Amino acid sequence: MLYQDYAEIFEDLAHGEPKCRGIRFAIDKALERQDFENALILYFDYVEEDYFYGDGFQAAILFPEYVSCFDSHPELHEKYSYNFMWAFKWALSCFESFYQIPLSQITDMYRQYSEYCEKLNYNKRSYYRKLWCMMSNYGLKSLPVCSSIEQAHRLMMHCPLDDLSEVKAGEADDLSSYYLDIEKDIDKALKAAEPILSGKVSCSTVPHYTYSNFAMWYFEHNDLEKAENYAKKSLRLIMRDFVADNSLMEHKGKILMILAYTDLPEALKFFRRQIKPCSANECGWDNFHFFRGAYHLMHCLEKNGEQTVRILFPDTNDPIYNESNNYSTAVLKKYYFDKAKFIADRFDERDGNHHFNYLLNKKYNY
Amino acid sequence: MEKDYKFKVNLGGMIDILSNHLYSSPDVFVRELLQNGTDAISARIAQDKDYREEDAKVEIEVEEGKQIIFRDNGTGLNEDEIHRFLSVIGQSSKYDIENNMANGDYIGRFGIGLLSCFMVTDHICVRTRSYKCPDTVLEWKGMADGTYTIETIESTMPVGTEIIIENNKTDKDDSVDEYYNCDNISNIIYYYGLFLKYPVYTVSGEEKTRLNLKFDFDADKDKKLCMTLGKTFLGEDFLDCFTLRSPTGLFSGIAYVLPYPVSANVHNMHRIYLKNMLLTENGQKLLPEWAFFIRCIINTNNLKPTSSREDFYEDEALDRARNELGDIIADYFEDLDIHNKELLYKIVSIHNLAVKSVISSGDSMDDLLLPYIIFHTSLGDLTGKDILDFGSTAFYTIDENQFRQLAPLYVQRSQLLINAGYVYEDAIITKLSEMSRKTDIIKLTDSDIDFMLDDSEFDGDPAADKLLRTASKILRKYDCKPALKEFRPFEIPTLYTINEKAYKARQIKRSKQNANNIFMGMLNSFESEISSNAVACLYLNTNNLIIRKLIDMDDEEKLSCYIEILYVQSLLSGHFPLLNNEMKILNENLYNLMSFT
Repeated sequence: MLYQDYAEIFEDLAHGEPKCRGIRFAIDKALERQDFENALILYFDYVEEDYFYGDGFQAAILFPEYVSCFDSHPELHEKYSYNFMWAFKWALSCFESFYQIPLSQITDMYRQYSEYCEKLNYNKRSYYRKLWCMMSNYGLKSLPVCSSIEQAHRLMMHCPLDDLSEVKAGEADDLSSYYLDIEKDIDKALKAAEPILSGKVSCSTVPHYTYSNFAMWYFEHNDLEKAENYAKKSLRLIMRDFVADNSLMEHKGKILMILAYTDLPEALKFFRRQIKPCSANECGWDNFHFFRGAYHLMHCLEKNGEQTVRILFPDTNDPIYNESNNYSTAVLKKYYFDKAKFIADRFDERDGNHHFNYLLNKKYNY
Repeated sequence: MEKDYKFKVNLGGMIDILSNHLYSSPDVFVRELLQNGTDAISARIAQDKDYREEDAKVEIEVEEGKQIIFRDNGTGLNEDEIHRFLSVIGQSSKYDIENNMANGDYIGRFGIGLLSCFMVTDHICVRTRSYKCPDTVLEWKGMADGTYTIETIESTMPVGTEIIIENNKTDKDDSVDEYYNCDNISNIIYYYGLFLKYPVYTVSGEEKTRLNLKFDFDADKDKKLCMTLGKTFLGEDFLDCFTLRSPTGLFSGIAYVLPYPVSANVHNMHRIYLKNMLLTENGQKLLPEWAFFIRCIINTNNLKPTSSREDFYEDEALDRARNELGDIIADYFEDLDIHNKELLYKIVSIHNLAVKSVISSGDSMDDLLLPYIIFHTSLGDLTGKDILDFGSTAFYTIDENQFRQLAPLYVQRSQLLINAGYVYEDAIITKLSEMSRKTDIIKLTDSDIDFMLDDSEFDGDPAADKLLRTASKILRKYDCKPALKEFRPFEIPTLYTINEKAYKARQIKRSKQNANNIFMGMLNSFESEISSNAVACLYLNTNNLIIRKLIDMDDEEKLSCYIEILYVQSLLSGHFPLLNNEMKILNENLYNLMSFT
């Protein structure tokens, strides 16, 4: 069978869970036929699908099977190592975003990624990039494999760009994020982001990410006008490309939070669009950001005098659900805070710090 | 000690790179000369108060096989401008003049267009009379080796510019000769410049032939012409066309509705003009992503092309253009709903997927289009309106396999099960359920399935209880519980259902069968989080003869074989992924059965 014959099984299915199930079926068909070449392509498709459109759980679970198939067929390494390594990068992002996985196991998986880089003749730029990003996202000052974020970034910059590097837009966005989050230098960040902000470079998730990062910076630095401007730019792109699924949840949560303080009706509208896809999300990282955003939204609604809000709560089994679809904003505020806190506690316990609780407990007196 | 050095540039080599490697084909020299001529005319209209737009023209004269002359009656160039703009690569006169007039008038921005002529000649001659100093005619001759001359000549030419290209290229291939042909040049002009603002003529002796159209991009004025243009340039007999006109002046054009369905993954090619000059036939980025059932011929004056002139920068203007295009398409649908419902229905039927994309991406067209959408259901293909009018509970599932497995059961009970596993459908079903007044549209859960199946007449029967006990024992190792039910069609002996948690638990188990130590820890961590709500159930249909036979069976060993076979068979028919040992079990049990006889 040709790849296209397998693809017909799932190409018309909705992104996320339906498509993953379809690809899973196609993988099984390929394995039944001992068609390992197409199986490897389909494994990649599965990880990509869940990484970009799902919550990463399926990708994380399937990935060991992918590794096993890849390792069993060294004759296919030259042709498929590129796909495999990209999938590994995405899988790493998935693993670290679930608090259920201990940090020691995540570190082991990073080590394994590094070993594959050597084995398959890639440099370690992507490895160091993943490291500094993870450490930044989870507030980790150091890891057994790396003494600091700055060191990881420095080591990354010493390695040349290769096939596992991000596209131009992604690299520019990375650099800009580093300046914002680590060096706290807005001027450098704006300069690094210039090709993105001027429209010269873009990719599937840039400038969505970039706008949201700048929005958050300005929000934290009391420039609400710029924060709202960037948040809405990001929102427009997200609504165009990623509205009906679980992707970009970190950014959706940030935008929700910012708009809660700058444009409450727009924030509520966005929340209503997102609440259903988010209800099926199992990923702690995703959920923390969304719940945090939702908490701030309810807080602002309450402050604005809105005692109740009408929403279609998707999970009818949740104790908070009520058939009238009208909810007390005070109750929802506590509900989302508690949900975010649960996750924050789990992450902080895993990581041995207070990063997530710090983020959750930040107050904004706008 | 530090020393200053200057870069040395091999001009001849640079010209070769620019003219032979930047552009995709020699055809573009015609485009470049047309652009230069058009821009010069635009400049003169803006600057020279005595010049009338109706006098503007570009003329092309071809001496077959020998030379081509491009003439315009634009601003012309004085000596200073010649030195600055014709002889310095990368400096465009249009950039300077932008300060004095609207940015919108200039097509070329990169100042290297004229050099493209070196693809078809070794020698460019420019004669020009500037309106600023009309007493002087200058002649500039540029060579492919990077040298040039300027001199004042005697000439009666009017204000404007003449560019003369001779067929003298050394080391040329045969294709260069083809350009020194009037028909060929005309075709290229037609291709690039059909919609140019100013008249473009080919001149042969006293005879002048206008090549471009006076065209307003208005489908309401002349639909027949627009449909003909669509067929000519885009190669299709479209269903319909409509006008695209930006309220903010960003674009104008014609949109065409494809006559056949296309996949959401297909990138439609649009014919895009920049300031009325063809930019690309392969433009993809302009329309919203959901508008994949539309192709268009579109002109823009204000979007920024990339340096290769084959795409646009992703900036706010492009974003705004896309939003406006989306709104115009929405207005088109609204208009059809009022004036031509039949056509709207036809379009939605053909482009069901595209229309679903439109609905799921925004709010503006839900009420209008949802009733027309076609859904795949247990009761056949139904429209949104059919579902809204159904009148009792309708279930939906996003799992296509589950739909296929359960649809026959729902048919038997005349109940509605909707397959919402396709692209966009989950979001659309949500909107449909919000709109619905008569029909409850709810997501299928395990308890709904259980509720739908009838209690078995064998409940409490000792033989049936024995079957259940044996089945429980066998199926426990597969984390599955048996239950006796009755359902139709009778031919289905078993039905396997699994809730989300159990599905994930199964996935983890499968992965663990292949995982190395590093990943095992991760999988164990996930497994421990799956709650006791993980439920998989094998329903045994007591309407089915096989199950009835099993109820009467005393031989435990045979019974176990049959149960395992039915279990695996139900996994296969539901397209559930098998664990490593499950296929093996099927084969082993079939073999055992053969041994029993």
